[in-house]
Amino acid sequence: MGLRAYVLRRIGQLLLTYFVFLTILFVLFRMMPGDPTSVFILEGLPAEAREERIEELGFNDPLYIQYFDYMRQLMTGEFGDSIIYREPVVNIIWDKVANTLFLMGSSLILAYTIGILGGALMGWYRGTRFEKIGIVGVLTARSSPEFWIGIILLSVFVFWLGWFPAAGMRTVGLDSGEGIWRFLNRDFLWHLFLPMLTGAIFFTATPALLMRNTMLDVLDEDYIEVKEAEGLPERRILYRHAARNSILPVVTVLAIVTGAAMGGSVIIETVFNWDGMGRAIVDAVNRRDLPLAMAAFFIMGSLVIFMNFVADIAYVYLDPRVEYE
Amino acid sequence: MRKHTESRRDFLRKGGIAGVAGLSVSLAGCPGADEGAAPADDSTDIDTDAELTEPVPELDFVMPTEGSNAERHELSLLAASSFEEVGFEINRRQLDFETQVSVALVEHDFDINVIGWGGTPERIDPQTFISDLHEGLESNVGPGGRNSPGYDNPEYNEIAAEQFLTVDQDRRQELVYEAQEILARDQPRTYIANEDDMHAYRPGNFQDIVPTMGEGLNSFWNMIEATPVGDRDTLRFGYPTEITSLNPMQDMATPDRQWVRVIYDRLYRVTDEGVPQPWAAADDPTFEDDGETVVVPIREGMTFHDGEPVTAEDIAWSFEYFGEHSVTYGGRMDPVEEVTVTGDHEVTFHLEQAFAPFVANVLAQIYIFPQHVWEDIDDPVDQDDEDYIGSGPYQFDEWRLEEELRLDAFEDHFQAPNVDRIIRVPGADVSTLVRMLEEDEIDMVGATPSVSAQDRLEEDPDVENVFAPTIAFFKFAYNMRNEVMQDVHLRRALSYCVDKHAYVEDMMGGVGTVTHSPIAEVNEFWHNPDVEQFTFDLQAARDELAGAGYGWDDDGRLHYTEDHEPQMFLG
Amino acid sequence: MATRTRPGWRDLPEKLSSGSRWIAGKFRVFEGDRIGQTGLVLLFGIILIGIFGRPITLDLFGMSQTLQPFSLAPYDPSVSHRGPDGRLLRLEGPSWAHPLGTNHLGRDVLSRVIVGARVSLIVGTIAAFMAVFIGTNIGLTAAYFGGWVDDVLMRITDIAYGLPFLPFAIVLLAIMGQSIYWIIFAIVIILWRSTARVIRSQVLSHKNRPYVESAEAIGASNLRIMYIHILPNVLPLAFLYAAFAVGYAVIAEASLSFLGFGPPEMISWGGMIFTAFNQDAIRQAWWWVFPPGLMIMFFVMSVFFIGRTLEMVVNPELRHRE
Repeated sequence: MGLRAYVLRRIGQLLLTYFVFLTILFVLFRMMPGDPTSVFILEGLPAEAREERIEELGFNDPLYIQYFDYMRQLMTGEFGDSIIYREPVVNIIWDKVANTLFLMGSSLILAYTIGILGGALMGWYRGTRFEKIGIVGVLTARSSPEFWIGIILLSVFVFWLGWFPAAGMRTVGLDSGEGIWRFLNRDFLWHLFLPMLTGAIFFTATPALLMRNTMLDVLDEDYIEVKEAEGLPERRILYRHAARNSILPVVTVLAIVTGAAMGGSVIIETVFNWDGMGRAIVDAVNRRDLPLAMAAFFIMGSLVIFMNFVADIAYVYLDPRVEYE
Repeated sequence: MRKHTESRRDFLRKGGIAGVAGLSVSLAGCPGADEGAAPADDSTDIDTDAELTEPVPELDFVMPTEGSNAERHELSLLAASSFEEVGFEINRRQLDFETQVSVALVEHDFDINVIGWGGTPERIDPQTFISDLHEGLESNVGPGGRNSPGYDNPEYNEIAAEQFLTVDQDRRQELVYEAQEILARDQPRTYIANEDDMHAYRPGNFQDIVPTMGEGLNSFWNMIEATPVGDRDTLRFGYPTEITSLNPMQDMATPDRQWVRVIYDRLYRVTDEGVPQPWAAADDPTFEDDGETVVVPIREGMTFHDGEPVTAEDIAWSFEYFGEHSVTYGGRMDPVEEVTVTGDHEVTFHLEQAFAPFVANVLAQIYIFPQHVWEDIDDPVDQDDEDYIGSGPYQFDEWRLEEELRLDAFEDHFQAPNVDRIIRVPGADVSTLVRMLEEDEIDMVGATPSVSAQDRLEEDPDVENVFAPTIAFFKFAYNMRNEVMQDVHLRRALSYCVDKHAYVEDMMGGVGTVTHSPIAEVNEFWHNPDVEQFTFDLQAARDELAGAGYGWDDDGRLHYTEDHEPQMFLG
Repeated sequence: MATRTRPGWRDLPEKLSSGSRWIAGKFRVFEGDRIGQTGLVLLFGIILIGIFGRPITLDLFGMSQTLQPFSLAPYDPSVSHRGPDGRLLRLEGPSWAHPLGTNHLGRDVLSRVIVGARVSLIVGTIAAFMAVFIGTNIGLTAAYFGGWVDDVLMRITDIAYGLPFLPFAIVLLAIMGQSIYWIIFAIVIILWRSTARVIRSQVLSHKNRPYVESAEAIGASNLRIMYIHILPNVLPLAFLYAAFAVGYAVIAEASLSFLGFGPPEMISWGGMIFTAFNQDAIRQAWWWVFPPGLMIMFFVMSVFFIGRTLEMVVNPELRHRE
């Protein structure tokens, strides 16, 4: 099978996976007990008004019609109206997606930078004290749940030192500009720092350990010895040759780590009151705002499935030794 | 002996939680909070000669999870073990808030349910708590109605209906008193406590705050009276949830209403004491035709935020329009036959019949809209006026969902606020907001922090706690649709098992008031201080049961006896 | 055979010694490996706390039998302690009576930390072993049969990969109610997938080896080849994954508990931190937040450290290089 045929087949499988994923999503959310209107009874919403609202939301339609509507909505990229905010979900969700991507994106970049450099050094200085400490450090970070890292950072940098803001994404009342400038400004980055660091600490382990292992493989290969024999400076061999050749598998794993990071954003966003997709899912599930919850879940899942697909393709594409089956 | 059966039952219960015996023990570590309770007198002290018949069925106890309400969750667990100590079998069912409301208030699938009723100012008038919550009307008892116990006592219904029609305040007070006595006697619910508010602010940033009953710092009056210290011009106000909509046609939730009402004016505004005070109206209304016609004089010189004058036509139109289109509270206008403009500055309401809380529940609730803006809107419920033009003391500036709502002072208002700008900040939860308050990122928090945080704020020189009593009450509801709960003595016995003082002192940290009636003590005019009181007393619970034909088997489990005859109401 | 006639017990010493030699052999990899040893010590300590934290009583058919009467926890973890004046000991700092202070309801934190070990231990091991069991079988079946079986099983794996863990678990628990069984279920659903993939690729590399072909030649059944011939060769890898899976499962359970979806009425470390966070006490009550957090960390570290050492056994190339 050629590369092209392989990619086509994978695309076919991707679509199938996707279809099943969407159906599972629908079934899960229809099974959820409670309805979003009940809570307004406590506010004094009369019984008849509640019935009307339920009718309007389409919860009384037969299931297959709801399923059909749901699929059609997703195909057209609209997610219906949020029940709580009474606004189209698309107006609400993309802001949250951007917030999550900024948070987790910067976390992963930091985690990968530290991880790859640290892993390369650990591989290079194998058998030394440095490597041992490095491994213990990395495993310890990986053993700490994100909320635990977050709480430690909060205690130290907010409660004790007071260097960073307590919560949120922007200083209250500050006008920070429009469009991309809402994110690229000092105030936002200042708020971003601690949540970003939390994610970065947690996710450093994967690239660091993988990098170290592949470094060990590469270092065993003959040409490194040749380079050493040629008398090249150590540092140059490390960066130019050894690290460069080790980096490939680390990059392909990035796709899978991204998926895990998406799920993990739920915790970080809760600890730091970050208005992203993860918190949106928790809030929307708790408040039974099904369209919003589904949209957030849908985007997150899509991203994960897509990244896995990219990882598969990248793997065969970058490494010609891998067979297509 | 007693001790033995105690622990045995505990084991059974733990087994019940986890199902698999072996696993259960190791997992359940130690669930309930019951182990600390001293074993009370042996139930067999009460001699009943009557033959035991079948056991009292297991009671389905619906309670909030720790995440949805930690304090009520703890009290529920405490009460559940007291119920068990008296001999009941309890099935604990912990549900998140939405599911709980839907299970209890719509599906009515519970025996005991733990929930509270909020204390917004329009509930100072006893109509909501006396009639809507307890009168046996179909709209109250049916799915989604507010009488979740399904309490339907003819004697009570009559009184509840009469107070609604009684315009004479003293006579109405007598009726409301009588209603409270009946409720205390019948215990369709165990009225536990008023969960008072303890809000917090930074006195270095703001002064002249006006916390009010039931709303604390969220009160309308606080928003316009709070005065900044120094050259500050912005009030940064934190509240734990986001507003869902500012559309005055569909103000469903309390947090929405708190902000819709500063943008849109009302004819009257309810003061701290629960009395409607003229606002956009120039004076108190005049009642004619035995209260069937209500004439309201309108204040002169008001304008909308876009500069157009507020006319009597706008006001009459607003009421009609709201009654016609508001899905949620349009029903408020049901008693009104017609609204007419009877002068340049006068509007007249024609009612079907006299209606006691008309000013508080209708005139002081419905907003004034600019007719010239809303006329052109096709679907008033879905399509809001994006500029939110009203005539209130604040005008809309900008709203970034889950981030900030910004309002500017409306300087032309007859009672313009003392700040130039107000920014409302939602937080994921109260603790986030408290954190921000401590770091001087916001000025006020309109929610009660946890007891731990209150203690901490107490010691913070830059922050001050503000106490505000509330009429909101928290209770256990007993589902009288189920046969087991129909017996008044059983309900009364359950009420004796609820430790109301432990709730207020231990779980609420003292910020609360024990209550025995749905009408709070602070609601002085309507509260009846002499109703029957149920305080924690397990022996009283056993006596109540023994006297009503219940008995106990050797394991201490509660049974019916031959003597048992169910009785729905006392008296 | 002559030995057959000897009574079984005569073999016992020999069996015991060979057994202990076998175990010692397995432990030899930990020799000189400080990280692995640390892991073993930590894990052993936590298991001891789990067993002796509170008495264990087995309750079967109305008979209760105390299996383990010892209690490390100084107090009943759900009793609210009061001062001499009857006031609740709310958020009291560490003292002799309460070495780790009390929580917002005056309950002894140390006792709760000790009792909390059980939930983590049980959820961690059950979830991890179920996940690895399922993953190994699916990987083995998919790789051995290939073709459409492989296709179907691997598509299912893909779908499992598409489910982000926490959001999925939250939705599931909202539907099913917050019980420990559904928490384990959610963790298993997410964890089995990586084992399945790895075992599959490992089995693929074994499938065409001579020993499998000779087994096929003598007409061994599919099941026999799969479980008798191939499985033992991939089992070490499965064990390795199980060690890591315990760590992931503990983190997953703690994370769910931290979000408030934990098993109600059960004291768990994640749940303790959730309550402290929810009660807004993390700022002042370090004694309530840090111990359970450290315990989670130590537990996960212990299995990761052990896993890393095992990795060198499974993948000996790593060892030679050290």
